[in-house]
Amino acid sequence: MYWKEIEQKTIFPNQMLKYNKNIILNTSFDSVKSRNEELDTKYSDYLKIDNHIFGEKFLKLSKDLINTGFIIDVPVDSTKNKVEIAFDIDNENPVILDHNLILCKENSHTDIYINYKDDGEVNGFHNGFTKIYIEKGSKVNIYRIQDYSKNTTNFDTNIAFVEENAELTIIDIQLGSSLKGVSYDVELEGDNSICEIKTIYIGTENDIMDFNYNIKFLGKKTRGHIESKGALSHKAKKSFKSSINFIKGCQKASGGESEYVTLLDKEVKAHSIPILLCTEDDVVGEHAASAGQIDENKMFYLMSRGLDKDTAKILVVESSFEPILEYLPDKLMREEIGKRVRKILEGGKSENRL
Amino acid sequence: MNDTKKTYVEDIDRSLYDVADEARYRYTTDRGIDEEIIRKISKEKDEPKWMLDLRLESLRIYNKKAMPLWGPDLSELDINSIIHYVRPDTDMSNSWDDVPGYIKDTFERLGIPQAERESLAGVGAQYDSEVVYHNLKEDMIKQGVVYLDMESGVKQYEDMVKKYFMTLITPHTHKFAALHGAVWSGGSFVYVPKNVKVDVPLQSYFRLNAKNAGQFEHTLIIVDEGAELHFIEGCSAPKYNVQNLHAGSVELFIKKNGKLRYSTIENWSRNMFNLNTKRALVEENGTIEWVSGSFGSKISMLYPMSILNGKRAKAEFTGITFASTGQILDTGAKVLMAAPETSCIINSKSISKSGGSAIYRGFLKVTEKAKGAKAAVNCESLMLDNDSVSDTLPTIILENDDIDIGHEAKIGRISDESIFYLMSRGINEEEAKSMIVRGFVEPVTKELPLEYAVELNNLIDIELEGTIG
Repeated sequence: MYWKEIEQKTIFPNQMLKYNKNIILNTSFDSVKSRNEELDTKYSDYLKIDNHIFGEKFLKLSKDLINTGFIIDVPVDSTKNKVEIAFDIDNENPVILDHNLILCKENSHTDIYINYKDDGEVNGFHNGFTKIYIEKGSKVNIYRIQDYSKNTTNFDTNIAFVEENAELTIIDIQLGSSLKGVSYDVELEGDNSICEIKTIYIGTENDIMDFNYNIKFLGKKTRGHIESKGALSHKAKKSFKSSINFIKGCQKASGGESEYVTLLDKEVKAHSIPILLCTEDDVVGEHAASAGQIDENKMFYLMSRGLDKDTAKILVVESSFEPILEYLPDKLMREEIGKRVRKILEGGKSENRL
Repeated sequence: MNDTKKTYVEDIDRSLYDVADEARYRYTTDRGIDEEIIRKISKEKDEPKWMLDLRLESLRIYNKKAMPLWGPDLSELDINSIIHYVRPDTDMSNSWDDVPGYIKDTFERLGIPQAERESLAGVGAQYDSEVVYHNLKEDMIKQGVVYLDMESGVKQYEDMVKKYFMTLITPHTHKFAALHGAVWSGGSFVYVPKNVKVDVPLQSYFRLNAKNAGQFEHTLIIVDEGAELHFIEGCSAPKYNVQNLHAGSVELFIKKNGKLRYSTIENWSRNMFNLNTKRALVEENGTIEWVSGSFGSKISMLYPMSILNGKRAKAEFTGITFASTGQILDTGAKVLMAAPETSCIINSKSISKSGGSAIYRGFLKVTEKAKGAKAAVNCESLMLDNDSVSDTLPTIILENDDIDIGHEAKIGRISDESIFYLMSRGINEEEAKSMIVRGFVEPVTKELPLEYAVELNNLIDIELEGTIG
């Protein structure tokens, strides 16, 4: 799809640059630490990387070039935990190469917020690799909001293992960066484990993006869903690959994926490959992918209320994102993101185009 | 967890197809493929030079091209053990009385002469590498309809055939298209003149009797402006313990306002590698309808492609795949929407049981020019046990914003709610399940003429016990 184009256009760091900013902004408990040698040794088995969905270059980058990262180790039965992480890029810290571990022990509950911002001017580079272990009965919500400027390239890879009766919810919002690749590989290992992945993305101008979301169903009565909403304008290009994979033995599992992208300009390009794999008959699986312009009836309704065409379009796109934004527990955060979405799409208004 | 009883669906009854005739051949080439074999085939057919040149160029391309890196594992296929040309010991005839008894009996058993009498406008029957019987009803001939075996088409309509032959599926398309170009034999040439509507179907039936042989028929159909045709293709072979190979080509040209329905019931034996290629080029306001039933073969790779090249051109694909023990049926549909207001509907069903693999592989591309394009793709898979495999691998490529595209797929078992609903209407459980499974294949059945719908239902003999899944 567009992966070769992304690789060709990416300027990879050719040397290790230090990252000196504090990434742990806020935490309600003390089991969150920045990576250090001692912790790396303690958690080496968890942190191990054997392969990389983006290929050899990224495998090397993620294994050998690391300049920051966090380890979250939530104790057994610990609840109401909240962690805020920030991966900010500025002139003095233009490169982030993070390798992280999230380990949530049995019956714990944790909300993790990870934000990505830059100063708007520096040519930044981010490559992140996170391994996530959700042990029996624990529940984890990860809210990831990436709002880098166009000057920063963003790659983010995540691998998660969910045990019996555990739940993982991921809200992944990709607003910025003109070149980006994001992937999530989730294994529902334990019976009754659940994973929900909900994503929003926007592409404008000459953005190119590559998304990969995969859920493998191993345990019985597992549930997994991938839901994605996106909007593309100008000459943006996106490739969305997702897979729901029912492995023999995962009886009574149910899984689905749905992707909808709104196409706002004639030169956008959208690729979708929603894959459904199955070697177990006692399951329910489905996927849906659709793309198109904004519904004419909705446009007519809004324009008849006095809105101009571009404003009406933005409103409809925003409203299509609402069901996913509702999953953000913080109302202020929802409003902030709504404003950002509006601003990004307004940047694509006819009078603002070059 | 309660164990649920599984629905039992019998394998297709192959007794009709597995009867092999004693080998009686006028000529066969040696095994494998080289320039000498190609020249012998061409000489045997007394072809024009351009056709021999095409064959030799195809061979050159074949020798250079690599095997596909995706899809089922074809490493077991040994091209050098295949006999690429087998000429039966008979000439082509337009009367069944002139066809040798053992060949005629084979086609009688398969119901072809009876179907011709009752419901077809014309029939072509191919036995191994050559067409042995060809006939077209008088009123069709009077209207200018041409329905010939391909070799006769090359000679009698040389200019027309040369214009179209292997232009849609070229030797460069893939390795097996190149192989086909080198060794093609048999098949049908059909031309329907402007505004002629052929109300009753034409049928070609391909029977591969020889052991370790290949069948490489070429079907070329041109439906001129405003014309309409329903073409039915059937195929079978007896089962052997050695490989057989089918690498046919179907090229369909539908001109402005033309309509073609192309129906196939494929029932090759379980030793067959079915690597067939089918493409249709549809012009303004034209329509192609594919109806496809895939039941046979050891390995199938079959993806009928519709190229919608004219404004408001349409494509419809309705297909059913049934994969059982030892079968990998990798099938699907491809659509290229390259003109404004084009549309397509794809409806694909699959059943897999007893270790069979049913794979749907789809490709939908909407180019920059295809403003106002609309497409709906629906795939449903029924798995009857967890020894089987069912995969759905669609690729959707969109290159403009003025489109309306939707794709959905489902996999699983029949819901208890559906069975409950029917039982609450007074239908017993067994009958309810039977209705649901037959309903599952109904979208394909209803697209076929009655006789073939009956045959399709006979191919799936269903017994149900307990709950499916």
